[in-house]
Amino acid sequence: MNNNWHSDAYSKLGQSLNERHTDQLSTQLSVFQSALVNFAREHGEEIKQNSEFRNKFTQICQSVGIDPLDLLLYSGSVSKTSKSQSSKTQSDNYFISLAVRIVEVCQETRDINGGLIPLKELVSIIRENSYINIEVTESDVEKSLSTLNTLGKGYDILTIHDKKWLKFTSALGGSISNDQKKVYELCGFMGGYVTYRLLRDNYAWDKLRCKTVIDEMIMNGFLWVDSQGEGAEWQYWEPSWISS
Amino acid sequence: MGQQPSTPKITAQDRAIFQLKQQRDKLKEYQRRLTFVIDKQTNLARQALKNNQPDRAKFYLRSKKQQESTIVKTCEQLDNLEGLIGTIEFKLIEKDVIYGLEQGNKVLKKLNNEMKIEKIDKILDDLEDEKLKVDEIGDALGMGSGLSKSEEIEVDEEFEKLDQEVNGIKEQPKKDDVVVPDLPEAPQVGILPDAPRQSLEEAQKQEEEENKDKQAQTYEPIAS
Amino acid sequence: MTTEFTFPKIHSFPPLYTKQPNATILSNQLDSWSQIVLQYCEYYKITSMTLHGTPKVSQLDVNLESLPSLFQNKTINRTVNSDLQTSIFNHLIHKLNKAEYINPKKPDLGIYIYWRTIVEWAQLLYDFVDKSGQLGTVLTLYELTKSEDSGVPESLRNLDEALLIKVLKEVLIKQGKAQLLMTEEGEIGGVKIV
Repeated sequence: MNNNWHSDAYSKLGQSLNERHTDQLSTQLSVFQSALVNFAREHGEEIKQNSEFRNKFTQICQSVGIDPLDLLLYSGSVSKTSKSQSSKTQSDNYFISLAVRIVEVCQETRDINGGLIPLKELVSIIRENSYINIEVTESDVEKSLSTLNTLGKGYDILTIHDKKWLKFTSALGGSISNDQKKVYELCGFMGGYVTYRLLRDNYAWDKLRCKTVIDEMIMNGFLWVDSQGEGAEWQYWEPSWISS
Repeated sequence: MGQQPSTPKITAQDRAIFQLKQQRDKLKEYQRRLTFVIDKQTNLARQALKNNQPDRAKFYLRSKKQQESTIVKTCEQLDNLEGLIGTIEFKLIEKDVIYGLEQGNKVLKKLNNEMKIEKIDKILDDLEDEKLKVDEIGDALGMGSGLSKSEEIEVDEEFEKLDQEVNGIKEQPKKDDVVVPDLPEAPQVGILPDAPRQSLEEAQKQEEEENKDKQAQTYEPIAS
Repeated sequence: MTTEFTFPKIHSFPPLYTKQPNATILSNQLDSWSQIVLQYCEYYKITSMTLHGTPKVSQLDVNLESLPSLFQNKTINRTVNSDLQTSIFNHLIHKLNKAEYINPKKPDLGIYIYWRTIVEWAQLLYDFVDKSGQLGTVLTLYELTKSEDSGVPESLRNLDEALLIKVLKEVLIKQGKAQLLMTEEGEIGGVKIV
């Protein structure tokens, strides 16, 4: 009984000490993090030019839990609009680091959307994920994609029904067929879904063509099945509906 | 710490309290039921009045009154039960306190026993005995050094001479120095206990001789 | 409880009510459903359900039949069929460890939904008994859950007795912190927590 009481008291004391410690450390950390951000803004040029300096800086960033990529993005986004020669490399860097982020997001969301993501959603995910507030626009994404495509990877912007999508083809091992694009187009028009009948009425596809396209899109995770549509007609929904 | 304590034991008191608490819970549930019934009867009475059935309404109200008095009774019983539980729990605490007092008392008694006068006297006596033994042994060892009594006396005499030689010289400047008392030196004159062994006359003779010596010493420098 | 539980937007996504053929998508779908079940149960303090997703026991004093139904969305006219229901509960039980059969030998009795794990329940209970200075005294299950005047915190009030016993048996007794007391009828009626 007495022993219990003592050990309880000790563990409570230990807990409160730990908490205080953690609090202090996390304040220190956040102070340090914001100092790093400022530093990166002021000395961005030197960081980029001096490779030894850059290595050291990257090490520091990683040890305090800031993604150096974020800082690169941040310092780049400041100068992306400027036209002077010195900031030319900076803005290049910005688009390259943005491209890295795009690939990351595409891979993370592949399981849910099968490699097709609305541009709007992509941008908002990139903004949410970074520690620092970075102004990323859809046109930035398009620009940096052109950098990516020079590497030969298939990231394409599709415009389906006035909505821009990023297609991440390496996930599919192929490209989006014209038919698949048309299915998405119709989804956008119908408020999220298509049916065999809708495809037939709009595109005059026969049943086999509908089945081939839709089955493939289900396999790739582009469409969700709904068997409880009106008149027992199966509906096929595109998942970006959930986040829109 | 670390090790898991064994499962807590349920004592007879625990059981008694448990039974009382069960009774109390039953009463509480019964009260709940009655309250529910009363609510229902009030509604029924209201309904009956609306339907112009005063007799029926009165019947409901009467039985409602009855239920209410039952509730009052159960309340009293609950009171009793809660009181009983409280008393038992308090008695248990009292028991603990009394036990604590008892323990404290025992320890105190034990301590007092150890402090009894006779015991202390005995301890002091024992101590004295032991001291005597130590002296005896010391004496035995002293004899063991092989000196006869007269030899011891001679040693003592020599010691006294040496002592006078050493301390005597020291004493002279002290006589002038009034401020510093010669008390601290006293323990060095360790011959006192031996004094009875020397006859008084001898000691006086010695002193006279020494005084002559001193006079001789002091005259000498003047003569020269 | 005046305001109704607001289901997340995905609860109105029609295909959510059909078991998806694509395995990756299906696992996503089951995750989504599990989240909905847990949020729903936590909101209405439902601690156990039937295998068809109907609330069995709740800590709240509400008519369980008046609650919006979990597996049926009347606005979009979709219902989760029993096959998908089973998949959802299996996902909750085996994959997420957030549910358990009330009696594994009789699955029809329904399942406990652990929006609070039994260890967390045990901690809550222990903290209450400790803070109210009742460690070492005998407590009836009635006063731990039902009684109005025993100072039981809101989070424990009206807790299903069966679940309470499970928490006592599987956590506190195993930790050597509790011992059960039987009624004369041989049922578990009280507990001593030290």
